Amino acid sequence: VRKLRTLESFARTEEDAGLDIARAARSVRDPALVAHLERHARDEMKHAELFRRRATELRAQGIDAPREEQADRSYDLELARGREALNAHGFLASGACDEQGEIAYVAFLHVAEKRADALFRRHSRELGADEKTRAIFAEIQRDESYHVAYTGTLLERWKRAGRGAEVARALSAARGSEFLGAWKRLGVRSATGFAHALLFLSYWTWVLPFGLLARRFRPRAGWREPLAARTDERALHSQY
Amino acid sequence: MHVLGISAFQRDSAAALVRDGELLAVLAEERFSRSPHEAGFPRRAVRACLARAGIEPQELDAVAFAEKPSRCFERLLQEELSRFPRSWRSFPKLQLSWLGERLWARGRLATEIGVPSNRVLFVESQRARAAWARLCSPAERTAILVSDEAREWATTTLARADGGALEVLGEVHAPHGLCRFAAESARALGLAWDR
Repeated sequence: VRKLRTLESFARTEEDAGLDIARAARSVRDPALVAHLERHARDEMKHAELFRRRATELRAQGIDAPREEQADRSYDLELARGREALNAHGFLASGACDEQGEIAYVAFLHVAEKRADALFRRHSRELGADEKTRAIFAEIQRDESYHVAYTGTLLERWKRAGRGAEVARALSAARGSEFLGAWKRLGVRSATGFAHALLFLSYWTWVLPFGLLARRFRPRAGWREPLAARTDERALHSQY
Repeated sequence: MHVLGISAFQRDSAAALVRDGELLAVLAEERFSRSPHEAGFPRRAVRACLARAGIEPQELDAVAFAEKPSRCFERLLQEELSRFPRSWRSFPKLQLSWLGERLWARGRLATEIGVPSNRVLFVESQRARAAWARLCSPAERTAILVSDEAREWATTTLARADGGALEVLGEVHAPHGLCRFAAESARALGLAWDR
């Protein structure tokens, strides 16, 4: 089940990354960068397809896990990010190229691809006898190596062109955002655990009498006056 | 006048844009995320709606959210309490998810879309569905019956539409309701209630 969920989550992340990189390819002018980004976007979509196909095969073998889309939480408190905000390898803001420029974007990609490469290597080692999934990871890692290489080459080229300070700033921002993200996630996970414990305690202390009272409450069946009778503008502004 | 309608944080999130009573765009987020029954905030659907109309978020006159979050929370809290002590596992989860985000819908909508918070309006989900049925009907005068899973208290709503006016005549409140009955029957038979 864990493997299935991981594959489905990777498929989603790769697809989001592919969409964002394809969008970035449309917004940059440098023809070499456009070509690299277009190939990169195609690779990401291919990876998503490979992960998804393998997940479908696992589901067909009888492994079942609740699909991610069935969760009604739009914000994942444990991961400290919006579920829908998942994007290029998990920490690159969607549309970042338009907002930050091409050097920052390529630096982010470079750091993200290195991280993804290490992550896939780690997962590949944990697969045991599952050769089929390992083959998928191996294929993807070949592409990841190319992604790390071309982003590195471009950054080097910009450095030689006298934009070294800009490149260094972008790289440290990318690494910093990864660290900051991990720090935030740690903070939110601890807070979530603490809140869980607190709510559990509350449930058995001050909520208890309300719970006992509520058990005596018998909801009235049948038609009743609508709560939605108020239609004035004040009612529309109210969350209640 | 531009009004953006939003359905979010439950399955099938979507956005719709109406200009002077004319429907310009209706887009489901799942078409962008390619994730069936996408439940997240329909950010991409909203962007696409605005792009289709050729307007900026600041030009929206109102953003209508198809739910009254506080009333929804009140019902869920009541249901959790009435299941005491069997709700000891679900209670903290529900509180975290609602207190963490869903209860603060106004701020989230205003920030996500980029409109002042006083332009965010809240419509009961069943009333929104009744309005949708009315707008799809060619008849001038219609009786409308909405039956669905409860979001706020109502699980069944009877309404009368006359021209542009919609009058809610009566409601059946949770835990009673046809959909709840169907869901519980399905669950008793070992079926997934939502399939």
